[in-house]
Amino acid sequence: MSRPVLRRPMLVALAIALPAAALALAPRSSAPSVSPIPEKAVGTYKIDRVHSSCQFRVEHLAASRFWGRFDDVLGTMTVSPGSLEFDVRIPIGSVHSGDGKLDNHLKGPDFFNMKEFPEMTFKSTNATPVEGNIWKVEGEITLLGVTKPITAMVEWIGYSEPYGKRLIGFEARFTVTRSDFGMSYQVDEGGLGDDVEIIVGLEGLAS
Amino acid sequence: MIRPNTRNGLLLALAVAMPAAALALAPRQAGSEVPITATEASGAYTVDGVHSNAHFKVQHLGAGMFWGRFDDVKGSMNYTPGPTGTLDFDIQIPIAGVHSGNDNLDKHLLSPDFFNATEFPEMAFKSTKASPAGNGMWKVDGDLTLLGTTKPVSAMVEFTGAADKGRGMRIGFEAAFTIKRSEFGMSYGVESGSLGDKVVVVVGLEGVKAKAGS
Amino acid sequence: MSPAEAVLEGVLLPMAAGLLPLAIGMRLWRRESPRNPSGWGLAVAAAITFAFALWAQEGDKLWELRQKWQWLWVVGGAAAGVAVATSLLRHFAPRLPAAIVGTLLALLCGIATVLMLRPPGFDETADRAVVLLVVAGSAWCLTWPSVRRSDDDDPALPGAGWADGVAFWLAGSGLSGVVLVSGFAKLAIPLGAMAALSMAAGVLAIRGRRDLGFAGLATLSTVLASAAIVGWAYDLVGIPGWSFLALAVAPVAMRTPLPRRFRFRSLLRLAIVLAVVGVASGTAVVESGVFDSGDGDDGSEYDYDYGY
Repeated sequence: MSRPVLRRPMLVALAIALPAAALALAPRSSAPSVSPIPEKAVGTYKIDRVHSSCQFRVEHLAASRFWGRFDDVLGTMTVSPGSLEFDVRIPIGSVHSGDGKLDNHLKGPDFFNMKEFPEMTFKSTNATPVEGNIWKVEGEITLLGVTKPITAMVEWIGYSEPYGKRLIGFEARFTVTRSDFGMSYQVDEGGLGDDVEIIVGLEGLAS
Repeated sequence: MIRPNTRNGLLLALAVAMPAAALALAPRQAGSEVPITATEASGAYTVDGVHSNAHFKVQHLGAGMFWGRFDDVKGSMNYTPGPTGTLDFDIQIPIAGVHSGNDNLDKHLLSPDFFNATEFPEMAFKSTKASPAGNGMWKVDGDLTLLGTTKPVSAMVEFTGAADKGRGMRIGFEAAFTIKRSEFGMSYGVESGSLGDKVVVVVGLEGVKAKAGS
Repeated sequence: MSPAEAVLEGVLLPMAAGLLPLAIGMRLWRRESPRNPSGWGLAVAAAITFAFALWAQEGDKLWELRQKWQWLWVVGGAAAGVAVATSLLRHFAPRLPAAIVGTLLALLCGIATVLMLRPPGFDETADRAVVLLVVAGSAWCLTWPSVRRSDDDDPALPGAGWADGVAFWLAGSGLSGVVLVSGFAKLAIPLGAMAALSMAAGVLAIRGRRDLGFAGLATLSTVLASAAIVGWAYDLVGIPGWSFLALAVAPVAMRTPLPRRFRFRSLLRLAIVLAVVGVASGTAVVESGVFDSGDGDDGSEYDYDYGY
């Protein structure tokens, strides 16, 4: 039995320490952390088609930047200690420009030639962290049946474990010179830019 | 003396070959390389609905950034370039044009959980002040009306170009701003952390010079 | 450049490139038409114009042949090659029955097309048989009278080359418009160039009442039919297949047998071609939905016009 003169300080200490410990050990709300990807995020994730998409931006008539989008993004992402891997497929049929006729034109042979090339793909070969959450990911993109190397800047957005699931998010940005792949419609005439900026919002669910 | 047939033949061949050669050798012009003057670029513009749209991104379940889009953008802009230039926007975005890539998600966005499109069919932005910030950027302040609530927002607007490539004088802007959706009354998912409160909005605008007198 | 300038360059320049071989082949410096011309000049001109026009759209990537429709210029070249070879055969072996030469020409054009053109959705044997039938059949119908004629020792019958030229101009323009609303501008403009070349050939054929010649007609017909099949294969907007097929074979109406007592037989035949082209293109354009108002028709003045 502790001596009475020590009891009160100990009780005060406990009264402070216990709640503090409880707070420190309590599960965090899923607010994103901005430190490098945590170890518990290691694993393979299947890309969530509903919450992932691919936006593209191209210069139109030397004036504006036109934004289009591919609604469906499929594939997997793998997080391993010190490295990232991406294996992404985008069905051309999911292109969405906001106008049905423009969609059909984009799917046709003037642009993506969906009937011959129904998908475009990206497979990473190498990933190195740059700073903070940003990674430099090198890989190969296949578009219109042509494969070329590409470098993407990929930002890790967050990792969370809501309702027992494991989710991870990335945003990849890179630029493609479309005529390299044979998509040269309107490049010479200046109607549409040759460089297309691509922003892929990726969310994956651990399998 | 050249025989009549041969002479006629040579003349005919020349008559055919010369225009052909002239056309073939004519320098090809890659569009109007003449730079657009300030006077040509200034004026009132109507938003081209096919080539303008708005994107938004919001953090989903603390993991990834979810990108959504509004396909329809309408409105008008007035522009004069230069360090003492002016810029104003009057933009409306019909909520029915929302597109998330998933039909059920679209319907949820239209419901009172989010945009409540039945009561508030449009969101609107009217600029109040614009000042050039150098490098083609403008700082534009204005009022954003969303879910019937009007609040001031400040946008960084990039002037992306002005040109006439044979389809009318066209101008482009890209406006980016961030809002806290709960301030407008859209708080679904904020407290539970399933959806971020901060929403980044990017609007790509293409304007066509309004016809004189309109 | 404006759309008008782009079309001008994409159509007129390739047409101009074909004019010289055309004029030489037709031996335009002679007032009288050569007896039973083979039309090798038109065959070469058609191949050159079509390849040039496709290259103007695609650039040097065209030669890499990574996309199946890009094989169209090869088909044009092969058809011209076959046609010229047949005309040489006719010249050096005049005793060969016309029936054999004509059928051989048509079959070879069809086989060349089937071997070189594999548009998406045309992989089944039945599909390839249709391609063979359409290409070979239209080439045969068009060229048969010209091939047959040289069996006689009669001087060349008055040619109706001008009418054949107009017929191909009608069909080519119609197909160009249909392919455009289907969202395939890169094929529509070269087809316009072909149509312009056909019209030029028709105009030049007025001099001395020339015939366009079986080699020239076979090449034009093969290019038109294979382009129509490509248009059909890549269409995404719902244009009925029969529209494409009708446009492919419309010039065959120029061989409709009409009793000798009819005057203006060429005009009558042209009227049939015009009717077929009109109905086929009209239906296609309506079915494509190009006249439907845009998706965002909330008063927006801007509708996507298959430009860019």
